[in-house]
Amino acid sequence: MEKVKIKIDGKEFEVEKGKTILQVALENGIKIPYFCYHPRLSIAGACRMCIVYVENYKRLLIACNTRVEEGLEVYTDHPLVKENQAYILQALMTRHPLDCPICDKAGECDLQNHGAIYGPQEQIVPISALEKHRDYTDWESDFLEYYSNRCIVCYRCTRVCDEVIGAKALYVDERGFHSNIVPAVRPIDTSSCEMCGACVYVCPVGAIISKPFKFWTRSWLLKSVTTNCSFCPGGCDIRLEYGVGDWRSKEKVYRVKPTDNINVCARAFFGYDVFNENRLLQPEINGKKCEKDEVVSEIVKILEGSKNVGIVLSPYLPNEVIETVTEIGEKVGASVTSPVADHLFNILDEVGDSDITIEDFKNYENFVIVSKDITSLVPVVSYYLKGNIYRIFGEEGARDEKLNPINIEDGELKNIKGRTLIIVDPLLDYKQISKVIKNVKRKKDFDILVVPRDFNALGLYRILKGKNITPFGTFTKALKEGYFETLIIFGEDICDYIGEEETYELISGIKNLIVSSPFSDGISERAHVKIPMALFGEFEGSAYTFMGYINFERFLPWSFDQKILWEEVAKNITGEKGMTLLEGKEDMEKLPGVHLYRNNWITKRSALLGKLYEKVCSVNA
Amino acid sequence: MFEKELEEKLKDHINYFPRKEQAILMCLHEIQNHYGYIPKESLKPLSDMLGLPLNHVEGVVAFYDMFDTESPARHRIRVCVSIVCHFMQKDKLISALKKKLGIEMGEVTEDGRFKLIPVQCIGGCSEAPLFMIDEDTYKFEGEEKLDEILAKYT
Repeated sequence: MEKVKIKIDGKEFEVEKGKTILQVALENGIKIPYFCYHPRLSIAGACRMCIVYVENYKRLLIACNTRVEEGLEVYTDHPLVKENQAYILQALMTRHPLDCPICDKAGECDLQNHGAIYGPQEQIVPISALEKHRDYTDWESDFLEYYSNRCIVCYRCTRVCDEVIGAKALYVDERGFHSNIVPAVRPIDTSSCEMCGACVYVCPVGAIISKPFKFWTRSWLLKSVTTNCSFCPGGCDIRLEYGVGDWRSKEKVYRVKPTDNINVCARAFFGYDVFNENRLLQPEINGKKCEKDEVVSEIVKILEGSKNVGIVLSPYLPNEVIETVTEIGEKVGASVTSPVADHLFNILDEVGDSDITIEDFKNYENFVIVSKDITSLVPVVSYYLKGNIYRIFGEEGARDEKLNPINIEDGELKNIKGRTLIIVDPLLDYKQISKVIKNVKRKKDFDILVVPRDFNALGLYRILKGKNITPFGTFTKALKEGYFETLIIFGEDICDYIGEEETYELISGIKNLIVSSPFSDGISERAHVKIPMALFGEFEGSAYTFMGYINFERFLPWSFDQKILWEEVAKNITGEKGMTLLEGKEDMEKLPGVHLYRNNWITKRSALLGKLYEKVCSVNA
Repeated sequence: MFEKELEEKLKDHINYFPRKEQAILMCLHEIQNHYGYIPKESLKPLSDMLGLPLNHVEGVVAFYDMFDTESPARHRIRVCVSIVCHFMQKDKLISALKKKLGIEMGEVTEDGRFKLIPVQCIGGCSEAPLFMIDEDTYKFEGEEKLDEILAKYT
């Protein structure tokens, strides 16, 4: 990389050529205020707030759109800069209603912050409060709300929707004073909008607001922790914000926000309400709450005293718990399975495991989507598909059409030239997929990525590989025949795969049912021993996601440490029987469908996502 | 879908340019000439023809004041409501026009003669406040002068 020397405020910096002044300044910790610039978005130059004085040209230039060059001399504290920044802020405030007490963005609003630091504290332009009204078009949404007169028209929302998400749901209506942000199709809930909430996050003022969060609390009362989401294998970096439990905020999760990488989808942004409803937070034995030690000895007693033990592992567990439970299974001679063990493991065996992450997507020119709809499966993957997009088995009207894919047959794959990534959806029919894979395997430039439906399915595969895993079809058959005396179920994946009612019927005859679930209703209602299972923010451990290998932290105050409990069970159990493999080859009857707003048993419980799901389904029907 | 005649014309425009999305303004003019305004329903088929997302086409229509998405009139009166005209008392001009025509902003007179539209800067700030009737620009010089100007358009 070519380097150039520039001077900012008299200090010399050696920086990469091609970068802008604003980028260089931010990287070196120099403060320049801005509204419309965002590291993930293109340059708009709409707000003019980032002006700097450039000595070489003897004038003001905007830092976000001026590239650095050799010998550039830049001043961020020149009197002209200060004067003009104050004027720009005054112009913005002139139209702004200044309704901070009833604005949800207060406390994290750029206009509020810059106003206090850089702005004038007086009115220059003669516009009365009554004139501060702008016409607007109602978004007709139950989830997003637009306040036109708070908008400073920075175009961040339309840019994030066009460039990052690709949903292209918003446009700017009119010009100048009357500019407004309007959805192309109203109501926006049932348009191409994916309800990812990226526009709410990038808005530097309170113009776009999330309705479910509105008026519940204030942003500065919440504790904000950066973590990763565990609702799908995306593993996106997000910020979880929860109340501390004093008189102004309850001890619950109030919202989820993306980080500046804008890896977010509706499941995280609106699905946070699963944290607050019907939670199982303490172990129970026969309906009575109890402490960890009691449960450990109870489980050890049950496991050592029973003949045939079955364990259903969940792909929503972190690696450490999967390893510990597998160890328990080996000690007591249990049959271990997981609902993903049949279809996903077969495909991964055939294709080969790959550790391609979303970061690596930029190395490919072509992407072939082998799926009905990859956007519904893992939305964040679709944000990173930049190149030629081809599609096999795609459905008409699927969300993937936002990428303008070219529909091809599997025979045409050989005509594609250049570095190509094949993205495979394991929920398709196995025969269909293997036909495509056969065409691909021989080519050098082609890589295959399997996109599972479930969070840590890749970790589950990597840990269980080479072990005596009972196929899920065979396992359910044995369950039907009443083979198992004791059953340990993690999560409710089993309901997704064989149906809720069928599951309840299957487990009704079990003598000892041990369930680990995050929720107090559903399967755990029928269990003899209930153990809490953690959602993100509640467990310590690692997982393999498309963001790479991720370590999760346990920080939510109400969380139960599931890892220690299972470790103690493993420590107290003796025996070296090895896993019991049930032979047989039963086909799974059906694979679960996936919807953007409902992808698994966790998001299915979210009331907000449920409302969205029903709204979208009622329009499509 | 478009009528055959109109569709042929749109296709001509699209084929004229090296990339089809470049024809967007020509196509919108063609639709406006055909219907007298741009019907909302025509945007989706147009975006499909041009290979553009719908929000892009909507944005172009919304940006240019020359495109009218609602009921047409024989003459369009465009009144500038930008910042300079605002300071130079555009409100007086607007209330005079409203009184003369008996309509609100965005409405059409009963006889279908005039339509009143607010627009952003029309590039004559030194003469503010300004308005346009069809393609002619006028300076506002009091209510009396208005009658004379409006009489030219039948």
